[in-house]
Amino acid sequence: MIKIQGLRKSYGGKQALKGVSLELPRGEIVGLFGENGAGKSTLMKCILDFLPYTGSITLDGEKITRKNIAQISFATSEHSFFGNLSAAGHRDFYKEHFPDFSDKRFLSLMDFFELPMNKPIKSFSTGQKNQFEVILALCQGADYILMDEPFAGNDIFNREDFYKVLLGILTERETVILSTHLIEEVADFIGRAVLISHGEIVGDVYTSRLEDEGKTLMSYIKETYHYRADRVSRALGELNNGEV
Amino acid sequence: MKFTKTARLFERFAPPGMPLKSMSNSVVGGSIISAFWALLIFLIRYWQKYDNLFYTDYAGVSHLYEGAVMPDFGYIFGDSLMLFNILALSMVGFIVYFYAYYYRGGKSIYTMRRLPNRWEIHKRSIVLPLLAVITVLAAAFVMVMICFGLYMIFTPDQCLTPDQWSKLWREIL
Repeated sequence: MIKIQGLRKSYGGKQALKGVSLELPRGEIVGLFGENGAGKSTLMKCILDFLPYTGSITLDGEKITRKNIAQISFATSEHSFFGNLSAAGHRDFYKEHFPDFSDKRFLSLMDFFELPMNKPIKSFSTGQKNQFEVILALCQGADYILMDEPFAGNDIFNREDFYKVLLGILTERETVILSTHLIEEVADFIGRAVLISHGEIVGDVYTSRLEDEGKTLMSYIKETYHYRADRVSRALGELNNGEV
Repeated sequence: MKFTKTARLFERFAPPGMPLKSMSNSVVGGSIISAFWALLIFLIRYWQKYDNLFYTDYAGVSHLYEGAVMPDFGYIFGDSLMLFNILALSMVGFIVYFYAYYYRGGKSIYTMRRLPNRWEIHKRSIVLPLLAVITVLAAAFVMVMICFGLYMIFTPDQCLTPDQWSKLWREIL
């Protein structure tokens, strides 16, 4: 389990995370939602120890260090692959550094998405690059797969394929933490939704509970964020009145 | 086959996917240019000093001045290795270039920072440039030896001051 307690992170004087506490057990698909700048990426980067922070983040009771970092993988829209290296080169590199790398899964996913093995990744289309980024994260052999807006630039069919593949291949040990703005798209795919706003967790709910209560994920999110449905019509009305 | 094996070995000490051809061209090409430069400077200076050891009589025959002394090798060789020094320093620049590689065209730094082996990024950023510096310095040393050999062979024995060998090492060290 990843356990986050009292996590605080500031950039200069601005607090990006204000005492976040969260537990992420194995075997869950967690959607992490929030507006731009809410702290989603910062949270993931703190988990990965990329950023200095105060508070505590543990993985199965131990601080996350190089000893246990292989249990966490990361797919990001910023792309963490090596642009000049081919898929085959990445496979060799990952096999060398991550002993639990799943060659079988890698080859299956490369085949499924029809990605070339011997071309440099920089020659891929944006969609293919995103697919490859996620493939690497899924094949590393990690129990916790962090995905930060991994499908930015992929078309809807492509994303649908990915959700289905993810559901099909994940084992009970694997946890996916997926940060995305595509709420409705992932609503049927995630088991838990964590809502973050201005550096604070403002909502944390299992989708099964929402189903029991007869709510949709979108309605829960709107409710939590106090979304004002009449905001647009009022603004347009004011604009139109102003013009007249 | 052997070349491929060596290239593969070098790749293990370079940022993943980094094309190494430009670096190897810099090392080889730079060393050749530096060697020619060092030899040229040395030969020009040596020839001037060598010429000063002799006078020509009315019949046009060259004679050695009595008590003529050839300046020490270190004095003549001087800063002939200047280009080698610049080349070695520029190889250190590759270290910065290699570390910056992980931030270009994406954020592969995230992968490097997630590796269980914390030294991998340093291994892949420092080893090859240091190896290049050693190669350049070795080439410079060979050049010194060649020039020293020419100095010892062509300078008349009676014009040589003693302890040239130890003086040379004092210059190098």
